[in-house]
Amino acid sequence: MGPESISRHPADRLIRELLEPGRAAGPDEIAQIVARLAAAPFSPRLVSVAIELQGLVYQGRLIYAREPALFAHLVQRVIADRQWAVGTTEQQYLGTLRRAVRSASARLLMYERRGGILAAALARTRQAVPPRQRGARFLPWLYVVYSADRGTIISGYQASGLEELNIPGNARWLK
Amino acid sequence: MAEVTAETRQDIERQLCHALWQWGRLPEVAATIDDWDQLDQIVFVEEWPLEEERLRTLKTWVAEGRLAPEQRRRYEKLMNLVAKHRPIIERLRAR
Repeated sequence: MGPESISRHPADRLIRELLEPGRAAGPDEIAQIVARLAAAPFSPRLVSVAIELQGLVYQGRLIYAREPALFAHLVQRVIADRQWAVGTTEQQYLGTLRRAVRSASARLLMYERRGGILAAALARTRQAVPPRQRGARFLPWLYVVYSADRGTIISGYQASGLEELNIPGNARWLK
Repeated sequence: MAEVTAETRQDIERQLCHALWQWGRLPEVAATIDDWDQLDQIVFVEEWPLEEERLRTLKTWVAEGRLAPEQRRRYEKLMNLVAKHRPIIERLRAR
């Protein structure tokens, strides 16, 4: 990804700035980042779908080998992982991720991964996913990953605990 | 052995297939990941905890006796793959 395509949104620039050593984060700046994540679209890219999901139908829609990332993530989380309930729509799934980011007790962190700058939110699943949208194997924590380079959410899934997530040791926790 | 419904059997099959595919392709992933789109690289590593959760689920099902004999054989194959390929994912997750 060339530098010309890196997001220049003030909140994304702020995330990059806050990863610099010694840069303190004020409450307004943290609120600005939360607002950015909570309003961010899901990545519009086409991504590969797991082979066992290809050819299935979800909500009347045939699942192809490559799908827009939001739909691909939704069917993976619903059908394969069973973290969200069958019937959850793309907008409902995205809504739960946004609710997680906004929840008062959500943790907010940022780090670098494979040359990309990421921000992430970690929240209680129960505070973000309504009972009717919880799948048979829903887990207690909901993790939302945001690319500050692209200005989009790139993943959202549930985990059984903080220690199960692969958070780099040098991640910066903002709240 | 626990009673297994058709739905559970299908779920077990799906989890087993997915786990075998993910753990089996790790050598190829390690050899090619640097050439992937950067977001694909990031998402692959970020979402790996889902594979660890899947292993935990399968382990529980095995303990409960929910796998058919043929699925149990593939589960043993999966365990061999996990032992063999775990160093690969540890290296990928460290970057």
